[in-house]
Amino acid sequence: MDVENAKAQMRKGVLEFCILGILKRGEAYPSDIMSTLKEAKLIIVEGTLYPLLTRLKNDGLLTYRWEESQQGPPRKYYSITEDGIKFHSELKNTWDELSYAVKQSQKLQ
Amino acid sequence: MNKTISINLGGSVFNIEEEAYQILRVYLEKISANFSGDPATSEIMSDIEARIAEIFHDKNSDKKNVVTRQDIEEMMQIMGRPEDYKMDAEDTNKSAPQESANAPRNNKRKIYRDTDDAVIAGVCSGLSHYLGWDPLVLRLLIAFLTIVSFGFPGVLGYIIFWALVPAAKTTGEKLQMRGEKVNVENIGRFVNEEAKSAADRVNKFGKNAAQNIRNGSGDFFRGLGRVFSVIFGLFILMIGLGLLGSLLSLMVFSEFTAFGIDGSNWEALNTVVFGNDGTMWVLVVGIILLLAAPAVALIYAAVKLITGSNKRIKGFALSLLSLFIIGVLLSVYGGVKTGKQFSRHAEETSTTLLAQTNSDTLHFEVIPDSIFFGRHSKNNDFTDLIRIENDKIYYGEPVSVHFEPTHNAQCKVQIVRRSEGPSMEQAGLLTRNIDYNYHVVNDSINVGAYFTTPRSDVYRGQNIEVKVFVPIGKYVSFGQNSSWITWHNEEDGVLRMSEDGLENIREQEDRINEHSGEDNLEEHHLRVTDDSVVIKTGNLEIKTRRN
Repeated sequence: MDVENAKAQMRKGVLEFCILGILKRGEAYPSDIMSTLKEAKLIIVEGTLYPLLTRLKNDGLLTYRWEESQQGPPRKYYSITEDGIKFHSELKNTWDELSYAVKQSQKLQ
Repeated sequence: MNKTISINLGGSVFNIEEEAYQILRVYLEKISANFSGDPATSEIMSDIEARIAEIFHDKNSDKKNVVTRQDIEEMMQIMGRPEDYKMDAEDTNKSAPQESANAPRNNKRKIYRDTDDAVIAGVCSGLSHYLGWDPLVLRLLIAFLTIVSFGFPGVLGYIIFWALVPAAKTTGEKLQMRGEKVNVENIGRFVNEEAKSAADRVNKFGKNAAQNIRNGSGDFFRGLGRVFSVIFGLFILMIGLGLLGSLLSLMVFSEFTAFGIDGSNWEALNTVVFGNDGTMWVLVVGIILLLAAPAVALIYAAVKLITGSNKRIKGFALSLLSLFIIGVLLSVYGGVKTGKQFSRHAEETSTTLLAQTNSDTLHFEVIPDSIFFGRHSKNNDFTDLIRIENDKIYYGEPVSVHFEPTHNAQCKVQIVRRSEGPSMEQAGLLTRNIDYNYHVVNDSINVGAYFTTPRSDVYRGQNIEVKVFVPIGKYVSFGQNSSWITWHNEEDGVLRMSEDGLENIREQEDRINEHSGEDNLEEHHLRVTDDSVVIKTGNLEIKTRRN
């Protein structure tokens, strides 16, 4: 079992949950989302983010608007939808359960 | 000094160094490949391009107008390696060991044509990268194959490969062709090497000459090549369509007359040769695939040559190859299975001695029949020579008659029944099942022009040979039907048996005429009897019928 790979899989699993969480606080530009995630050391490169955002948007959990930028091309600002909020709260329940389970199991050892 | 290229990325125009451009393009290609099949690909890609454009803008804010390799590498620090874009965990799993592999040769190679090292179209050099052989070996092999096979597999294979396999155009493709990892380091190294070899070329030919080749005559040759490939494409399109068309018409109209089966069709062939056991259909399907797969490949190749498209339909060549191999396997299976039915040989001889008579002439005649009468030709025409009626198969062709000299005074007739079969027992049984009509009375021999087998026996190469042993010096008189089955062309005639077999009366007449041109005419004697004319010249004696 490759430890790097296991780590990557764990991170990817919670990534959607985290993105929804960030956007629940308000609309954001991918670089903003990125900096939060980077601080949390969840992902280190931006590449991972774009396909994920598009997928969440296509699933109806996110929406976006264009905004002109002083430097470079116009930016996509993402915000969460009603469905996204529902989805997030369900994920949150699961996360709480999981994190409790993880804490408990790690304590026992 | 570096050449720069102007690109449009996410709606903004950038000047980018050529080397950096190569890297960026492969980078984007590789990212895009991660999402292949995903309908959102173009949206994701434009988001990514927009972000990359933004990063370049940030870098260019310090009055620097050109995107360099350094910028690309920094951008990749932010955006991540192409593999980082993969959405599914399994993909990471798969690519992880490949990424950690250090040996570049272990990477999966892809087949491309190597147009940089091409004699004609880079087929051999491309294939040699894939196989890891020396291209010279492949070239010699193909040249040898072409000469030995009179062009077919060598040239045809080359053309098909040419058309089906795209040329390695981008740096990424060239690296993949060599089985090297497509990553930033390799691309950079490769681009440097290319630039160096281009520089060498410039040094060799002089700047102006190289420039001419690149701009002027290069275009000319490309144009000429285009014309040739269209003409060539039309040519192989015709071959492909012709092959496919004839195959289709064969299948649809079943208009083949193999074995000369009366009202010939698949049903009859199936009954006579294959005994309706399904082997025929295996063979038919096998042969269709065997011919149709190359035909389709040729048509596809032609379309690609004519349109000049270099696109690769995923899995198309591989599917055609598999179909072709299936065709080969089915044909071999059917062929071997059918061949086995013919693997053992049996023959059975029955001998009839002729009653001793005073006559010096044997009478040979073929029994007339209503089945093959008049159909039988001397030209070995196979048409109408096998018939299925009621529960019998009638064979009109394989009855052969031979007259052989014997020192014995006794005339004899041997009927040799032959057959092939899957085993000696079966072949023997088949020979005994051959029903052949002949009768020998006194000095007249009457033989049938056909034989029959039970319908259930099917065709296993059964044939009948009639051997007539004639004492040397005796005459054989041929009846009017006998030309049906003997080599002898005269309607009727009398031939004399010599040491070397029957002597043709015509030849001897010619010889006599030659002689008669000289002065020994008086040595010839002519004797006319009741029913024959005997010519005697020296020690030759020829006898013909009086009429």
